[in-house]
Amino acid sequence: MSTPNDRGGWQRLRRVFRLPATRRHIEQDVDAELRFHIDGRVEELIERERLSRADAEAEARRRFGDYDAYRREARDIDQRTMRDRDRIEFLDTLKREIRHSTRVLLRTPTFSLIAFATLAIGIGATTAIYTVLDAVALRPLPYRNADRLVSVLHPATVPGNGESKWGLSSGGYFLFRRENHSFEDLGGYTTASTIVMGNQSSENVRVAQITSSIFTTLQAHAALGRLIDSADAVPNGPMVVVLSYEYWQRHFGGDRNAVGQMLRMSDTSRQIIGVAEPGLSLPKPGPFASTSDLASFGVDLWVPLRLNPAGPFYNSHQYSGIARLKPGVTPEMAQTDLANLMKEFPSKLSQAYSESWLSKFNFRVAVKPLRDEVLGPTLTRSLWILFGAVAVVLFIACANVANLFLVRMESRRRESAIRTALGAARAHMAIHFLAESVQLTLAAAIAGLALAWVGLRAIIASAPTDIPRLTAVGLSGSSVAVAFGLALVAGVIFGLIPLARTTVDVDTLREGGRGMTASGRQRAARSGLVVGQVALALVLLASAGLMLRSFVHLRNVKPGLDPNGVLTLTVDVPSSDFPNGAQYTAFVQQLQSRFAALPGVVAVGASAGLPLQDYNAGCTGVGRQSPPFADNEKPPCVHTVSVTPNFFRSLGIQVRGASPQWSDYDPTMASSTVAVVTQALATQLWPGENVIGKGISIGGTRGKWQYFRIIGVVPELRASGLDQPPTEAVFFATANADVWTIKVARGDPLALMPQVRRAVSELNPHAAIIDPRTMTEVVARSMSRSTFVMALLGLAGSMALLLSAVGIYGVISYLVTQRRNEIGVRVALGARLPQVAILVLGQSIRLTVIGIAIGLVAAIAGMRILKSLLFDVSPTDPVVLVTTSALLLLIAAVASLAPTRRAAKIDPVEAMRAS
Amino acid sequence: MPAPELDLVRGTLDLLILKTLSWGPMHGLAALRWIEDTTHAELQIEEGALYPALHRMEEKGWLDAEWGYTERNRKAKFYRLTARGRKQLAAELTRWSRYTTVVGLVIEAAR
Repeated sequence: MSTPNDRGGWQRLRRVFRLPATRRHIEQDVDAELRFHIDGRVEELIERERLSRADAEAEARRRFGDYDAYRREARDIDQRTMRDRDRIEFLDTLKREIRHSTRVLLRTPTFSLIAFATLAIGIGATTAIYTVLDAVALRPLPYRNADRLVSVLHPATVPGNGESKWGLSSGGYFLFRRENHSFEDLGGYTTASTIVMGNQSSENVRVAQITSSIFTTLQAHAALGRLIDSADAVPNGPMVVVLSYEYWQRHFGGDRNAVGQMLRMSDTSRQIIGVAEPGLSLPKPGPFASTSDLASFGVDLWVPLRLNPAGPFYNSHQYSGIARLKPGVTPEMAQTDLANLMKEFPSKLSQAYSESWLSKFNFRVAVKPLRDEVLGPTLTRSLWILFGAVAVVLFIACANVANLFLVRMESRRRESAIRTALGAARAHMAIHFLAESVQLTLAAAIAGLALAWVGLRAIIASAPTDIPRLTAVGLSGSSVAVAFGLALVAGVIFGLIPLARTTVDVDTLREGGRGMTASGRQRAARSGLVVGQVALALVLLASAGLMLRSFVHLRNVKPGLDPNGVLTLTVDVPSSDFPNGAQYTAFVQQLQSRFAALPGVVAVGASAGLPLQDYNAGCTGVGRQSPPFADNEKPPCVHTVSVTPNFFRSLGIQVRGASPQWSDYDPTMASSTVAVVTQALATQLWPGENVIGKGISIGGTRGKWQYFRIIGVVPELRASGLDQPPTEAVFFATANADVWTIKVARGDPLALMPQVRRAVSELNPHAAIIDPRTMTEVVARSMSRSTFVMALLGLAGSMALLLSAVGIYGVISYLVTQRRNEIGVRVALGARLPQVAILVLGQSIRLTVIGIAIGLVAAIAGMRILKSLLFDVSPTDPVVLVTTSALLLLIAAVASLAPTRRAAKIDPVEAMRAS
Repeated sequence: MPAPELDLVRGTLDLLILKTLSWGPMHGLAALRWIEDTTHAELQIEEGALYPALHRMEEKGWLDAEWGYTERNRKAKFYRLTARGRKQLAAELTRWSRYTTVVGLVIEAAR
């Protein structure tokens, strides 16, 4: 046969005799060989040619040539050979050890399965949450050089309504863009939805209205045709539209001839001038858009904003600003730059801004990294908390597996001792143990990735819709790297556990039994692992408990409306079908009677926005007819909502006094004369007075305003969010409403949808129905973020609890086995079952209590990071902490029951004979 | 006056060593003497060049090396042809004879 066998023979020889294959050994070998040659020659020359020794030596050297060069060459070759052989030998060993350890792992299936499953769950959970964290919060936004993109917005303190964040005004946009020193470019946009009319059906699409500088700021490219440029975005510019790549694919099947065609939209027709590159979208909806669908937010169409740089400018802040920083400029520097420019607002934009207005509204400018603005303050933190939670679960899982390895090591001490005694090198032993542990953890990583994949589907399906970028989350290269990285680290640590002891193991052979000191050390290690597990589990459980309590509080908040049996949907009709307001009012009235005639419908209303969904966007200042505002009094900025008469009834919102009737509606929609206010606003404007009959205006306090007569008061409404204070709002009797709320007597309101669709399309074939859902779902969605965090923390907490129970069980069982002797003696000396039980249980309880104490300290110190996620619960809520501690104690007791029973059954005679 | 020295054609040294060792294991010096004797010292090899060649062939697995004792009881490194080395020798021999044939054809060709 060929060389591998020959080589194998040599390797075996070398291994047996442990031939030193070192660098020095090689040099000596070569030297000896060459020396032998020279010496042989010299002798030969002396004998045959009778040369003197010196001459012979010289002659031999001459014939040999350059001695040093040949010596070096031979040595280099040998060293290379040695390296090759070592590598082959290493691979051989590895192969053999992997085969061996596979056999060993399969021979102890219980151990392998438990370790494997525990690790797979831990790695899977960690990988899944890491993937979400990475995709949502860590990865840069999908733009070129996204790290230099910033958002430009105006924070303002709205009197009576707290902090708001407004967009840029058109005047501010032009001034900033022209005079800033910080940006390469600045763009503004707003988003809306509109209808595109096809031949068969109409479709509701999302439109981005943008300054042309948005594309340059984002450094976006066209996939086809061209993007909007500065010639398009001027007053009376051409009616053009750029399609998103996805919309182009969906509706034109990627047809290149789409460019140049006309697109019929609800208000107008626009010529398609190009297709944007794939995936191009805006980072988030414009300032006053509903953020309820942030998860899947995207842009279908891009149209130019046709702002006039010459004005007129209004005090209206509807454009989100995005800018690209010049190299070396920080967001803080840019903010200072813009703040300086803002001082010129009253002089240069006097139509829109006055000194007094700026100070009254505490009107500022904020430049923040775009990603921070998109993600918001609490999302990143929530995700990190969740990641921390699953990392803790993984840690607990690893502690369990480490425990298992410690047990195994005990049972295999003789084996490793024999190997060591027979001269197995430490490196060989390392390969031996590492092959086993790393094999196990890598297999767990593969299973963990599968679990993570499944988990991700579940997370995405159940996650709140206001998490940006979530729908695109999938296992990525970095998730795979994390899974295998964790597995490798864990595997190496597990593999090194037995190695730490091989030095003392030779003693084991001599003693023939167990070394008592080593056992003590091990017992300490295992007890330490259990204490740590309990402590971590307590922290996790307490977090989950806090979230649960907070959720319960949130559930108990009375929103002031009854979501049961209510169907909500938006009916979008092209404005071109309704040249004047009267026609639209008529349409709303007709639709209302159509809906009301459907079977089982109790009440039908419509409004301009849905409570708990659309009430976060913008506000309008309101005025009071009498008494006039004092100098130091600031007019409230509130939600102003157009509603139809039965809106309140359909949502079960109580009204004291009267609701508007159709007779109150001005068919021209120029105005109406009556309004309903919430109690919160009434108290703010007229503390302690009956407000029915008082006059209220919108738009401010100066000039001539029309006053609406208040006819009713809503005593209780929390429409901005259950965790928000009572809403201040004015409801106006105008039919400028498109969000419908249909209350049915019984059954699933969604079952009504087919009839609703028919009713709508019969009335207006161009109409598009958007987002049909139940009001119950809307309410659930408004809490979805806390629900989501709570559910995941709860899951992590339960896993931690379960794994800790397994850990306690394992260690107590082990300790019982260890103390078999002692217990046997005690029983022989007359100890009764209760005493034995107390002995074993006491040990378990002692460990658990230590763990709980450490956990409580950690929880009290660390829970502050949860504060922003909690509602009406203190981060150190004693009820939660006491309950979780008690739960852990109980679980610990249950986990030690089986070992206790085993201890109680110990037969003293047998136990003592066995030793 | 000695005859003009024959320089070793490149790559031929390997062939000579393999052929020599095919008669049995021997150490470097012995192999060299064998070549000297059979060629009547016509072939001038720089003796040192033998060793890198031997070590390289050992690396390639054509030769095995082992320390042993000479008849004068001196420690020397003996080389032995492996199975792979024999195959290599066969291949080299074929190549060599083809080479000499071809060269011979050119040299002896008559116009």
